[in-house]
Amino acid sequence: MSLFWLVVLPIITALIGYLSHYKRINILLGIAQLCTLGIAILTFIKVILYGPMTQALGDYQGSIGINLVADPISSFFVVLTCFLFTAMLLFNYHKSYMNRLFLFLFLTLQGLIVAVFLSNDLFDIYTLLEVSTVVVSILIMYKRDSQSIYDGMVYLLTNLVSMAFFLFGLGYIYKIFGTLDLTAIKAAIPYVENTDTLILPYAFLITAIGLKSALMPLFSWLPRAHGTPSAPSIVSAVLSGIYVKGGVYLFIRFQDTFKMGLDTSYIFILIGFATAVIGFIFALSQTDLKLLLAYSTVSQIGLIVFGLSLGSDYSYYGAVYHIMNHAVFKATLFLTAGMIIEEYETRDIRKIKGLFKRMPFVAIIVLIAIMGITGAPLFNGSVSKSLIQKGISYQSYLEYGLIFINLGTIITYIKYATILTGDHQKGPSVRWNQKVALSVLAFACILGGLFGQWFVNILFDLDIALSLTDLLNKGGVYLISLLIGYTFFKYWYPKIHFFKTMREIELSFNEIIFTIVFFFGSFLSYLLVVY
Amino acid sequence: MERLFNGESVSILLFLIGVYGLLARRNIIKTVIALAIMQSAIILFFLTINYEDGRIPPIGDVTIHTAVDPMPQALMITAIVIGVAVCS
Repeated sequence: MSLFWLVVLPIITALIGYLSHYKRINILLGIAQLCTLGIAILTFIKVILYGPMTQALGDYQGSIGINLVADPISSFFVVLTCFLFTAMLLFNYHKSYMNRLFLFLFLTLQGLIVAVFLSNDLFDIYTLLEVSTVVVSILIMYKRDSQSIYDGMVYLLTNLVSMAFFLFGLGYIYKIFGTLDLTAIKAAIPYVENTDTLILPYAFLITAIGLKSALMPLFSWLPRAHGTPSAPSIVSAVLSGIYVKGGVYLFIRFQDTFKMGLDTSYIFILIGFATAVIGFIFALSQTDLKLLLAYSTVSQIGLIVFGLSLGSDYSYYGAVYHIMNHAVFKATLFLTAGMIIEEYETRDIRKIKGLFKRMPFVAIIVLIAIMGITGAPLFNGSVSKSLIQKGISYQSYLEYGLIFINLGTIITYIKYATILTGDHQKGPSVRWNQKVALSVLAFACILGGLFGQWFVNILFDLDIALSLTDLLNKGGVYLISLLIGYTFFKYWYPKIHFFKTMREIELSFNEIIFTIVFFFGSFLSYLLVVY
Repeated sequence: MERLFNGESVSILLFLIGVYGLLARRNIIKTVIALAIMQSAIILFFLTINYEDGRIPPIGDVTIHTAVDPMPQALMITAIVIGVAVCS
């Protein structure tokens, strides 16, 4: 089966669905979506059994044509994307705004994200990112009230600026290597005599990718885009669950490509740590349900970049596994947040109480997702976090940094969990399609934890044997962190006014551009000083 | 002097002017104009990299040494299309 169908099938069916006026066309879209998921799973199994696949469009082999490459990691991301989109469509199919235009944009976005994961050519990646930026900003503005239109415009313009940086860097790459194929560039990098020439294009590309994946000073567009009040909750879930991961995936690819010439992992440990800490501080200061989740995404991205840059295999693959886990539980949290906001008709975390009494099913799902993201033993977050930890067990101060980040996550979600308790009468029951979609996602959270070792073994060829003492050890650390977090939240947190001032911080468009230029300038000067 | 004012330096200058426009102007029309300036800078940059005098267009029967590299032009047509789509 050709890899191109993975990209083209959702887009073609979305187009047919948009143009056709036949009422039952949604059945066709559903079948096509299931087919795409099936192809993705088949491709993944094939890649695992027979090794990576490369396919060229037309007969131009090598670095001349347009290539799609599926290796174990990228094909797993493709499966994850298709799985999440299928769950979202099932979750939302009864809503009134799911009309032809929305479905067209949504399915096109799926094709574009899959293409970003499979693509091997820098200019293809540029085009795909640019188109997906436009599609995403229309999806953010979809309900057309002034706040979401403003947020969507800021998102569109900042991302266009970052893509201009990307294209400029791409020009330098073409000037140096004469090709834009990532495999060919990787092969050519050891032969570059003067690595100084790589600094400028690398700084340009990393600025663009840093903005796409919301690194330290460049994350202020993300909460606006992911947490904007009126965007549909499935759009928020897709953006936070899988679309940001496209940026992180490109970060992985570029670091992998350039590491022979420029090794910048040390600075990215710092940037990742700073992103994680600032992310959870911002998340803790929010009172808005969706904004809290959006800033928590920033924090987790920081953790992922931190893990990727540590330089040991365990941490690296632990971080990759954490990308997948984060996609699952953050999507679950956003979907349930959408349902909670609809039910309570408020977004203020202080006014929402008694979820267990009012919506028991949703509360259980929220609890499972929270257990996942805070890394409770036997849930998927714990597997990836313990893998990251295993890679740095010889450097104690970094290990403490990791525990500190996790403590921040735990405090954030203790705040989030305050919506669960309290007294309230029972609300209406949940629709069956939402029940199925949420159950599948929550089941994936538990499955990723219970069979985590097996998954890691298949995906990355890593053997992690977790003994019972390890498990008890981790459970002990988790309980202690929970206790510290709870005490902090109960007794100190209300007294600290610092969080209140953090809540007021919101950057204007010009200030966001300033952060981009600042990041570019400081990163460039850092590279020039070090190399 | 001729060496200094080649496509590369002019395009970097234009790019920085575009960045300045984005930084210093709050008007959205001016923001879009600044973005368009950045786009033009990138197009100029692509078209002048690997430029040499005396090359001919790669049409018809030419050997590879006398024809220009058609790749940047092809890329820039795509970039112009995208630029038109997003800036207008």
